Amino acid sequence: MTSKVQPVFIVGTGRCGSTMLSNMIRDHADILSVSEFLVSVTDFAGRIPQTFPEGCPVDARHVWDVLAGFHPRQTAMLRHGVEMDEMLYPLAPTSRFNRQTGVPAILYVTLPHLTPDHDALFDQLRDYVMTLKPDLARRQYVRVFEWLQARLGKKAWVERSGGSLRAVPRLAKNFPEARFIHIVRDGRDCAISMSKHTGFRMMMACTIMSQILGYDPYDTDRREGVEELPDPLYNLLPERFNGEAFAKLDAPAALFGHYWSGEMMRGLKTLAELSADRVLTIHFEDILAQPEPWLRRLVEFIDPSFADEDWVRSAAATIRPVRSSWRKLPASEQTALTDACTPGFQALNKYGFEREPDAIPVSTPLLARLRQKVSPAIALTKFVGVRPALAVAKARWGRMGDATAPTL
Amino acid sequence: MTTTHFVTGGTGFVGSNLILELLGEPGTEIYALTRSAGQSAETRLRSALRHAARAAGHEDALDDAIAARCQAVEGDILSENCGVSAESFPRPDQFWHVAASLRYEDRYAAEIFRTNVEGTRNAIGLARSSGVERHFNYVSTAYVSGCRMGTIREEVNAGQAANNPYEGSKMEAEALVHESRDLHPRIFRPSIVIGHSITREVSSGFSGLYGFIKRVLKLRQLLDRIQDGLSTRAGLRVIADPAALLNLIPVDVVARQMVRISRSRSRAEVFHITNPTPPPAAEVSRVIFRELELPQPVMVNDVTGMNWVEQKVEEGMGFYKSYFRGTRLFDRENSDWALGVRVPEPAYRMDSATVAEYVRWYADVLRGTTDLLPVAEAAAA
Repeated sequence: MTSKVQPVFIVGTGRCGSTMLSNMIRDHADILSVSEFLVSVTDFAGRIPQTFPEGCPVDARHVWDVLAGFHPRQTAMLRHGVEMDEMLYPLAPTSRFNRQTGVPAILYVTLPHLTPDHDALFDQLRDYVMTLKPDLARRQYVRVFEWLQARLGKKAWVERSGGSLRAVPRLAKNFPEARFIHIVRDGRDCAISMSKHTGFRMMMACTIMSQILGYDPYDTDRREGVEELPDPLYNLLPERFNGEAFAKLDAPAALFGHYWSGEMMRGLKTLAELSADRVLTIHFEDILAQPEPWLRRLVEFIDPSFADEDWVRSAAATIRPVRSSWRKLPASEQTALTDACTPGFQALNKYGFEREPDAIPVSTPLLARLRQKVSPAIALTKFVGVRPALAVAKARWGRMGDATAPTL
Repeated sequence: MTTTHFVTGGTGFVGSNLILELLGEPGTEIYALTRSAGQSAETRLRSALRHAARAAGHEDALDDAIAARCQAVEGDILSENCGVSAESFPRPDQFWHVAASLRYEDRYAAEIFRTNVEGTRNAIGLARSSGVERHFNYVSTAYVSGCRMGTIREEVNAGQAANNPYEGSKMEAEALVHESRDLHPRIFRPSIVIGHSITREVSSGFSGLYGFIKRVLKLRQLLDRIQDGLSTRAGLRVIADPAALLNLIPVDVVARQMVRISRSRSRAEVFHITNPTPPPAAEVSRVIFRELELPQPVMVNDVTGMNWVEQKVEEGMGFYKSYFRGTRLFDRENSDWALGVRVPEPAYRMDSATVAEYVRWYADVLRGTTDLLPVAEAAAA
């Protein structure tokens, strides 16, 4: 069955509340929640060329290798007990796959997220994939999603992977009809969470290693130049990887603050270039504060015919309070983290995606929407304090001749 | 009259330039200990020497001399007597032991000591069995000075602490050489060897200053990969000693001075092959940052208030820190007497413009050969 609903990707920097959205959407009667598909099959973005080979068709075997391969980064982490918390495949003694065998990529999260009979679904999926004729990779993945959609009685699919904001250019190119739900969270909280998250720590370690070496050591047997790796990274080469060395890796929140800013600067620029009807921006803090209006807006964006007040109420009831953690840091660390995230905050302002605390989705009455237009400066105070925010407001409205946004 | 030299490390940066300098004397024949690694020893040696000749601006002018007067002796310094029978080459008039490991990380300590200390022991054994009487010339490093600062004299080591395994291994190797009195040893201690004084080129083995330049470039690329343009916004503070001098000396100057000293009547044992007018380390840092398109660093005294990026730069300095901090003045009394020198050779004065030429040359090499991951791919990674 071919979906009449255009594909939707939920994107974000990671650690921004997107998993929460996947879990909510999973319970919607009409929507297939494809969770962590891209991050799993690309092995934390280490296998993008293999997943999206440019311009050439891929056959069934290639597709299955992408979906079901035992990819090196995830396998190394699994064997040494530092897999992501999001991993859903049960590693029980009686499980079909275990730490020693590794777990096929699509079984890490995607299939277990959909059904407890994930192993059976995995086998059925393989039987289907093996019938595919050669075609462009993106079309093959759409077939896989649509097969899952039909198999589970859904009408549309929504894919969501952590840290996928950086993939928006590639997704927009490969899926030109796609729409994007961008979930944004205060970068400082994202950064703290990233610094503790095994997936992001592994991603950062591999990024630094590959930048020093000039190649990805998880993607090749090459080892020239490894003497240039400092000891902490040398001990994370695939043949030397161990959990203790991984746990000791120095990857502080400030580093991820810089990373978050970079993701925002790049990702927001791309989103801003898309037509407005293809992008819905949701702030994590807004969903926590006013879940029902935002969940209605979310479903309306996916497809208006999917409106379901029962789902809205039950999804809203699953939300648990999340306390902002950056304010608990020592003052010097707060400053360092805020400094690191400032370019990201500025990007939100620049491209018009900043949070407005009283914002209410457009599906709500006119008066409520007017309120959200009145005080954008109040939104900035959440990030940077009153005085800088007022300066921005002045700059926007040309009051008092201050036309320059503050340097934060 | 034929003068015969035996050289280890002849395919390396200093060793190949030493051989080219030795060839400058008519009638000289060189036998070079060479491993066969994927190619015959002879092929490896000639390839390395031709490459060094071109880097020195000779083009193919020395090719005939290399072919006629340089011979490879297949062997390995890690083997007893270098795995060579002394009968396989004529008795040398001088023996030059240049081969060494230039690694410095703690994790390679065992390999470093095996190559530099056992290798020296094996070279000494080969020299003895070959019948050489004077001299056994050992190419060490000025940085056996270790943690010492101030005026460093051309003396046998006095138990100073090493900054890293490389320095420690060279100290031990020097002790072995010093004990070999029957070979009338000479110990040459070059400082930071850089490219040719005219061409600025390096033929092989980008260590020392080049390792630091590469590290700074990699840092810039990493910062920009984490966040576009971060390297130009970072405004780095680096710890630098305003009094520190960075003793840079071109490889051809090193080779020329060592050969001239070897032909002199000097009875001294230790010779500093160093720059008598080294540039300030802070100025070299500024030139490197400028040539690599980074904002000029702010020089500070300690890590107080450093942000994460700056702390990583400080950690990344690693091995190189000790060379950018503290003041070492390498006394050259023995070298200058042997050379008959009263004023420094003008050809290798290291002003900012000259340092910039060296940095620029290597930056071009890096940009042409380093597998730089494009931002687009990095963005998708």
